[in-house]
Amino acid sequence: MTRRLRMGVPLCALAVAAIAAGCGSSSSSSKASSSSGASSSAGSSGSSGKTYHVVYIPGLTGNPFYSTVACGAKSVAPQMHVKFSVQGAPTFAVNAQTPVVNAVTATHPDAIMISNDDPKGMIPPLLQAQRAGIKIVNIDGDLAEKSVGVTNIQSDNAYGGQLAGQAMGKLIGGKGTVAIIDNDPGFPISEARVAGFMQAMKQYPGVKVLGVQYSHNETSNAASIVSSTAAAHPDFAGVYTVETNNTEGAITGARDAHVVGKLKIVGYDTSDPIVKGIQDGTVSADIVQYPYGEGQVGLQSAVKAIQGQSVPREQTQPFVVATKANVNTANVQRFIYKTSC
Amino acid sequence: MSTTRGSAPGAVTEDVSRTTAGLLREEAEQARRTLLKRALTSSPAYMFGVLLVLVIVFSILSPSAFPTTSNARNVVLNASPLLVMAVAMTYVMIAGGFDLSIGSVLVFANVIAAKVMGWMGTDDALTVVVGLLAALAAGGVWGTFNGLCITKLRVPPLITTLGTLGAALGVADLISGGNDVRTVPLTLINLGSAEPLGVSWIVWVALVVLVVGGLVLHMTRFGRHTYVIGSNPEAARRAGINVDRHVLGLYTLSGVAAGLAGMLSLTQFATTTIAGHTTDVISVIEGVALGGTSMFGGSGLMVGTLIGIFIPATLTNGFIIQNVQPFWQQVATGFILIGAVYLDQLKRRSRERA
Repeated sequence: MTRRLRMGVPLCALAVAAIAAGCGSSSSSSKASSSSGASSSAGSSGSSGKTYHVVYIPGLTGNPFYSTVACGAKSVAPQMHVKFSVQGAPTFAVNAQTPVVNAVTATHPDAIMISNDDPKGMIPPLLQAQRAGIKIVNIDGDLAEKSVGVTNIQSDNAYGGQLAGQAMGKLIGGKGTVAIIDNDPGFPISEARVAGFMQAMKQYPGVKVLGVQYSHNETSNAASIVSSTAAAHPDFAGVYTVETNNTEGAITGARDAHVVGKLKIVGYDTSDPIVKGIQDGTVSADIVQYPYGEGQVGLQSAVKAIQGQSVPREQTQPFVVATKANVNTANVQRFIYKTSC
Repeated sequence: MSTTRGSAPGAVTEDVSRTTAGLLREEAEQARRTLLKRALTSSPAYMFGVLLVLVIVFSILSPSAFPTTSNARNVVLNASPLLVMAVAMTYVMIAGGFDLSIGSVLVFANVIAAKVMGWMGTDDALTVVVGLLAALAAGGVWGTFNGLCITKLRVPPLITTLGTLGAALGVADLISGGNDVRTVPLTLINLGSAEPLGVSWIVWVALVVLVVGGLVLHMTRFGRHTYVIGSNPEAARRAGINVDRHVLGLYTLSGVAAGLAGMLSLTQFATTTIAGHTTDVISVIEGVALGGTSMFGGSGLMVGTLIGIFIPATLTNGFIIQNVQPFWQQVATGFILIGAVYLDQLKRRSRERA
């Protein structure tokens, strides 16, 4: 009797934990829906008054770029009568993203905004969603099959890579050794950024570009790549860091190897430490995308598609090259990523 | 002890045999009763209870989205490659070992199969069969390498498979140039989207592996030897079991299973998934451990592994449907897993007292 009772307590605790987790979400989502509900009732004379449900699925959770996309979408959600939420997996991989898409599809939202982890591998689950009547909006990563999804919104990564290459060539005066640090092999977006960079470097035959080194998205790995390259190459003039963590790592690595100022760091994407690095000159140039705008346009496109209006299949967003000279101007600040909203 | 028994006088022997017969009868009856009781109070039964609670709770919270056939089908499909690896891991862990390399071996087999099918350039059933054999062989090679290092070189399993965890992924990157291979024959893609009797081939393959794995573990000498080696390798050796050969076989099996999972993953996603399997081994070991297989070897049931794999899979799916904030999902999943195993420990302690 007492034994059964003792068994029962943790079992209940388990059930309570599961329910509590559910409640935690429903309270936050009900808050979102009540606010959008209020605005929809206020604006019901203007539009149909129906609240749409849109879910954004980032490439992975906890990434400043994707968080900024979510913030951009969230900023326009109330005025568009949208109940907006975010669901994602902690790793950037097709087999991590697929179960998330499947589960979101089961909840039958009106639209899914998604930053695809693979152009081909994500087709089957999204096709399933599209067949269930859900509108698909691709953000920063299109599918190989253009019939899936009403639009793709992204910046031209190869062009961004070219801008980085041009900046690097000018900064180092066309000579010296240049290293490239990427997260992991196999991702089309990163590959386009590297290919664009290589293209631009062809105009600088005096520059020796080392092969791409991989940090596996670890700041500490990027730091040790920079410090060991500095030790091996006395003419180490510049490093192109293809993603956020690599730029942050390069700042530390340059400091460790005592080459701050001498080594030119050209980064891609921003974060708070990178903005600080640009301001104090540690980071010479940084390619900043406009994810906030991608999120806004993404949600607007989703609502248009739900209402049956046409949306252009390809939509691009601008870039800005941030340097110490322009980082504090309003034009560049508009692009800087906002991770909390 | 043995000398006392051997020198027992005749009169006493008769007495002993009479009581022994009585005891045996009583024992047999008790065994029948306790067998049912033990089955009901076993770890798998208890974990099944936990799984059932989760399913019921999520069904009540979102009745239109969670308890649907399409949702269940997706959860089962996504867990299938993990289940295949977990079946082999159950053997390895029952024998007191570990295999950390499976995620990387999966990727290696993934790349080899895709490359072989690409080189063939054909697009028919034969291409797929050759691709499958290549995947199994690729996995088997790493498994055998693990087994040889562990049995012949006496390098501990944790270190050996930690080494091949890095090496197998590195070789896969070398072969593929680090880029995912997407030249998958259409025959394979069609196979992936076909659903005989309502579920994908991938699920059927996983089911066959589970059933065969379970039968061999619980009904054959091979399975019994696995338990004996796990509870006491020295005793197994003295009992005449070729422990090294058996352990080598188990690691090879684990490699082959990872190879098969690699082929299943290729079938499902139509691309190699080089970056996507770094946490597979954690999910697999978690599933096997949740199912009641001892972390120190010697005990475990295949049905437990089946249930253990589906507890985290159900949690993840249910949380997303409930729209739980993603970071909270990780926190909640972690604590629920600890809670579930704590329950099991309580049960075990009370069972041992009784």
